[in-house]
Amino acid sequence: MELLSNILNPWNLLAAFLTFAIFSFLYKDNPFYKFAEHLFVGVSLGYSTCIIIFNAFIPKVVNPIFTDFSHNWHLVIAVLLGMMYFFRFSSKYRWLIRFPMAIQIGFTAGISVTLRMDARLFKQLKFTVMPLDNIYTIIVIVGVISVLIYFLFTFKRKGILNPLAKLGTIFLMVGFGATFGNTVMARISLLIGRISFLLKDWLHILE
Amino acid sequence: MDIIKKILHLDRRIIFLTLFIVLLITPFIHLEMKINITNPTRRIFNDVEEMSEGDPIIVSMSYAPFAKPELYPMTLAFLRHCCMKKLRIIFVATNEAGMSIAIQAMEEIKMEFEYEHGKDYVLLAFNPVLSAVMLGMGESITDIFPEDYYGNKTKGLKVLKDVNDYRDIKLLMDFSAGDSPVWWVVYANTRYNQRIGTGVTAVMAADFYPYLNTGQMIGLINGLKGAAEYETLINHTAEATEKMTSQAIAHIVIILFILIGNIAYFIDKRNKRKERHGTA
Repeated sequence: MELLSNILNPWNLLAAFLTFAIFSFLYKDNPFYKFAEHLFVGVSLGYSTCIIIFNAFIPKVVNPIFTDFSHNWHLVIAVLLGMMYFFRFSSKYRWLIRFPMAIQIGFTAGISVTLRMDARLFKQLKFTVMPLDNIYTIIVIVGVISVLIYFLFTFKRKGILNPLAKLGTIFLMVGFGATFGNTVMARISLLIGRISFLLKDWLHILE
Repeated sequence: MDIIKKILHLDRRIIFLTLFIVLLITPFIHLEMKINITNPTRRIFNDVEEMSEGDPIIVSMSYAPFAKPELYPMTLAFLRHCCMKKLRIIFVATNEAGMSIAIQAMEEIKMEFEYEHGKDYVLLAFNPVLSAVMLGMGESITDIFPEDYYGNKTKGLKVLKDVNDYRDIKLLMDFSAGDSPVWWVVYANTRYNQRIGTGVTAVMAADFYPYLNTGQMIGLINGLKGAAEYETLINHTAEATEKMTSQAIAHIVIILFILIGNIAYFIDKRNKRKERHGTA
């Protein structure tokens, strides 16, 4: 009886139906898949919007302005700038969104360019050649140089550059293979997760 | 000859169906799988193992429910390890749904380890301006998060006693289905030398290995396999370890398909060459 009530639990039924609706796309595109896809997009967007409004906008903007305006008046400027994005919907005033965009781009570039360069370029370059005391570092150096040579398109590759570029192709293929292998593993894990839901949480066939 | 053509033009739906049937059967097969521990997972385990009771760590939840099958088992295993070591856990979220998953995870284990919100762990609210949060926590965590998820004032919470900024945090562990670990590296590690560990979906893992070599990340838990490794390390067999049989058998099926497809391709190529020579 308990098993039957669990199977007929409306939330479990809905989750199972949506799982099969999504899987049905593997056969071919159909209205059930379309319904599940649109529902997912709508629910995700609605959820995100609510979280941002109730966890960020109200406590960090609305409440401070209305409770202590004298100390938080500057937030009004931020709100007005943010609202200027809505001018996108007006053909006459669309140009006004350039102001908030310029500020946002300037802010992001200002705080992240130097840090990104340091984290993603300089440190990576440094540790490509250091410490030069083991075979792995030598493999990394050969890999980096050969792949960079493969991507030299500004002049015709001649002499030693040709075999090095071919070596670069091998390194690239190994890289793609590793990424593809990881992708297969990830997708299978997701499928196992769904099947686990069907057998364990919904049908209770598995303990 | 016909069978080679049939294999080369195999309907992809047959592959999907085969995999689906295989994965429906495998949960009922109980094989003893040997879980080999990879170095990046072990490094995270060792780091937590070396911490003392009461040390504060930050756990960043950067994934939505779609990535739960891969990331939730490793989140649980890691949190279980933190609770065993009696660490103070500070949750932040860089994904809107992250805090809900953190709540679910703590609900599962807090009774077992007698963990209390505000005393042993705290859920800080989601803040959409990630760069400001990541940088701001390097100056003052309570200024960036004046209130926790439930609206309590963070100043005065027992779990945040003597915790001001990154300098007081032993490890920042990011569970992510996207590129947030890179942002933690850029903002928290590069600027404030915060130690970063990460648990990621297997799809993203290859992107983060370069950060392990440089020491910008101390370790990495890779997908469901990584979760099974962590469960093995903490001697707590759970969901991920149980699913390793299905995972392994599914991989064998895919490898077989790849092998059969390649063999058919080369036989077909040889046959075509023979036909060309025959007609010439």
